Amino acid sequence: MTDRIESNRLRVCFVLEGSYPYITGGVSSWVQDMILGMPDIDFVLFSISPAGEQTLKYDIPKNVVEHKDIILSDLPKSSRKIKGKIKTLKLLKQMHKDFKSKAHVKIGDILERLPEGSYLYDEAVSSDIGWDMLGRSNVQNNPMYSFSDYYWSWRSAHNMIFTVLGAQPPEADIYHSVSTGYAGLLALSAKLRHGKPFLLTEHGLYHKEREMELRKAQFLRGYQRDMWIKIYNSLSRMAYHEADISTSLFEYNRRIQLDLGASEDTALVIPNGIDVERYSSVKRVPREGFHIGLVGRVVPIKDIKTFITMSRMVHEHFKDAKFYCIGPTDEDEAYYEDCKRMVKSFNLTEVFEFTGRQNVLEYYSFLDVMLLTSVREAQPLVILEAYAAGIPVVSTKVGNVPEMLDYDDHFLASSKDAEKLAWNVKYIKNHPEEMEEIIKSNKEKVNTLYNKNDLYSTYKNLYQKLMEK
Amino acid sequence: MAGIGFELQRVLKQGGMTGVFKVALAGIIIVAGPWLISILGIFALSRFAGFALKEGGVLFTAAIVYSYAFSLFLFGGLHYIYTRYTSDLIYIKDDSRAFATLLLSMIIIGVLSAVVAFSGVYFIRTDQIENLTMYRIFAALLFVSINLIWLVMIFITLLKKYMTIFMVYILGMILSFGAVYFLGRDYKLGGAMAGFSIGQVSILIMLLILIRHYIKPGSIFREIKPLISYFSKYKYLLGAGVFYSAGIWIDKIALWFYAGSHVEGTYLVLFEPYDITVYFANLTLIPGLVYFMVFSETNFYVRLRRFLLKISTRTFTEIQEEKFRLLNTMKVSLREQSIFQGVITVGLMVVAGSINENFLGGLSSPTTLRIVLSGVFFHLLFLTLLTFLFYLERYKEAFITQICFFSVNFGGTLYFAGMSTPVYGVGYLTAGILTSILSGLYLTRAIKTMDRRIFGLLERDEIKRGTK
Repeated sequence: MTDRIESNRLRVCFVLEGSYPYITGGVSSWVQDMILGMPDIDFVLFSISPAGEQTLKYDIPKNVVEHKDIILSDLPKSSRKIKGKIKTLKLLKQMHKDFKSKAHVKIGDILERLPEGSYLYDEAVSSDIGWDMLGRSNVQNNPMYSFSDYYWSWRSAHNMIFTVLGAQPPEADIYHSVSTGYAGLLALSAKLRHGKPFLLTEHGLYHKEREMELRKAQFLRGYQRDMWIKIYNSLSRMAYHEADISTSLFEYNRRIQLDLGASEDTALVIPNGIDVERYSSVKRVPREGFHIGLVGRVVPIKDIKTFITMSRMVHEHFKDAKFYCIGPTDEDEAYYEDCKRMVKSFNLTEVFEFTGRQNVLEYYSFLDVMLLTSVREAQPLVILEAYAAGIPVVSTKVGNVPEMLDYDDHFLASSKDAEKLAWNVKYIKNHPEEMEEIIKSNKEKVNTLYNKNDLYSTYKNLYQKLMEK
Repeated sequence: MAGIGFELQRVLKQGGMTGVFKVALAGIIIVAGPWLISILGIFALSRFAGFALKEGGVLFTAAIVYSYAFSLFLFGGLHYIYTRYTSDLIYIKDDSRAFATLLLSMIIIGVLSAVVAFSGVYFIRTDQIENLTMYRIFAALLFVSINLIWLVMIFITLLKKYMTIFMVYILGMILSFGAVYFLGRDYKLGGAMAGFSIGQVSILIMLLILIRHYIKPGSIFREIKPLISYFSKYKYLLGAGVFYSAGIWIDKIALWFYAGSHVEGTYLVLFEPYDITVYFANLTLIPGLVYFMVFSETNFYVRLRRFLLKISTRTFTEIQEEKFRLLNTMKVSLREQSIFQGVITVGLMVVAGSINENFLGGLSSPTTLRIVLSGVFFHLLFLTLLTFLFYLERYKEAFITQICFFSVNFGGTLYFAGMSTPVYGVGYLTAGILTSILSGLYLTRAIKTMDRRIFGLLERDEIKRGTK
């Protein structure tokens, strides 16, 4: 490892949370591509996982020189002493006040007193200041429910933050976080501890995604939900404020970053890119019938159930239509079982297929329509892949999708609107000539705006810029 | 011992003088059975069987005093670990394991105390006793039996047969007296020692038979490992026990060797002016201890339990209210108990001169008696606070308070004894006052921070169990 540092190769630490290399998905693929696409850079992985001993879902490229995990549910024992406990706790109290008033939070002062390997788990509640803070917060936010519930929620939320704050970041020239949240905090902590730049790349908006999940979670009480939402918002706010450069995939998200503290000069839009050559080289071999595919994991956020509902509607009109759900089914098995039951109850078993993980290129060769029913997306790569392969796309209006689909209502539908999605699919089937034109223009668009090779050079330039700072 | 308190409160609530009498008797036996019986025994023997002690009444008393002093000074700390372990077994309602632990502890303490006792009596060499070997053997047996009775007394309250226990003691005392009377007549001091020891041994045997009647012991060997683990787990409790047990005797022992005189022909030392004052003053502790057991401890326990039951289900405000109710209960209990004990102490202090003349044979001085009576008052106070600290599992704090008690009692005793006009008992009094203040501060802090500590402990347990 030391040899690598001395070899003058740039060393970039990817700070990851709940994604690469343990979970598949858009962000993980992006990280894998970035590492493979920049072989002249050494990468360090600093990944935050909810639990230990997870299986690697990717082959780790050779230019990954170090990999360190932080298990959020672990409470490691402090190996070093906190410098001035009372002062540190007072700063922590001030930090909470700043969070509340949405003022700029100066976490550096806390980190100065909190050496790597020291954790605030005990002090946060066993000290007078800590307990007073917890008690007041409880009385304000949870006067009616049992304190015990509040305590454990508070602890689980804060313990994870303390784990991150006390973590020992690996050495690197740049800390590149691919989300805000705990990863953002970890990258920020690494920046302040090692005096190295912090680059933040957001595909979606972490706090918005978490908020959506929290609002759906039925086991949470109101105040617990509010507490978590506040924490995630505050973590994002801190990351935007402290990142040397923050990037988003499209302008709408950049605006939100700016609203939450990112600087106008350092908040950039860098769209995703794909290997255009790979996807445009797909030889289209149309098959008999009408083939509609959705490429994505079988998980609630992809809203596969709406895809199934839409399939039923389309199948009523086009008996030769076939539907493919192309992606891993093992991430949320209960949801997958639900989906299978739905397919059966709609009598679609003969025409609807859950393919599992597949080489998508094979499907891109014959699909007539690519469908995306997600309830939340940023800038889905599958749309770009479909464009490059020459497949028209129908999607829900999420993230940057409307812009990618030129705000054309013939291809867009609101979330969960299966009827409109079905109408869009029928429109494609019924207007083949128009589709030819659109496919052509989409190919050009991908080639010009979303080429992965451009992405690598853009990020290399960003790294260079950060090193020169 | 809160369980006994409940039982006695129940009896008391039945009303009538019989109830009060029963509670008083049971309370006295539980808090002071062994040493009260000995004091009364010595008193009765010197009054009615003086002929048996003619060869050396002081040597007879010295054997008893040394047995009590060193049984606690050397092994008192172990009682705390034993008590804690037994309490945990009783909590899970495993009486047979608790009985097995009693037997195991009796074997361990029995062997250890026998080694100490036989080494101790070996060096008693005097020509004044005709049956020296008999004296030595039974003095050693007395030491061992007293050590074992301490353990049995900790356990026996589990049976809640207070009147039976009282009767056992009365029977043992009568047996002891009879044995001293007859054996003393034939074998003089050696016989008297044998008689007294036989009385103690008979109490021990009767209590064990009583226990066996109700409980069948489990395997002794099964308890070895877990019992040993308690020594490291509760090291501060052990420390607190060691220093408390040593602390309550250190002033006496210090004065024996500093200002006392040797029992003729032996290495045993006594300092009668202080010893007799302390033994008398300690008797005044009994009503306070009974009050503590029946009211203070029981009320504190009830409040504490209520708090603990509420902590996992109630709002923060309700938890705080319950916590301050507990704090208030502690204060009220201490105040009322102190008034109760204070009346006794002040009353006796007023008539200290007369007590010295009429009961202590003028061996003490009114000043020393007043100082020691005040010391006993604070002794009860800090003992109460210490027990409450144990309830809250503040063993480290309890340990510190007992180091304070031991050190101040030891240092103070020597300091004031070394003055141009020696004053006895000031070390004990000062130690009592300082320890009470320190314990009070620790206890108040412990109650105020109790909620956060409980949540913290739960979390640490989870981490230890690896659920996090």
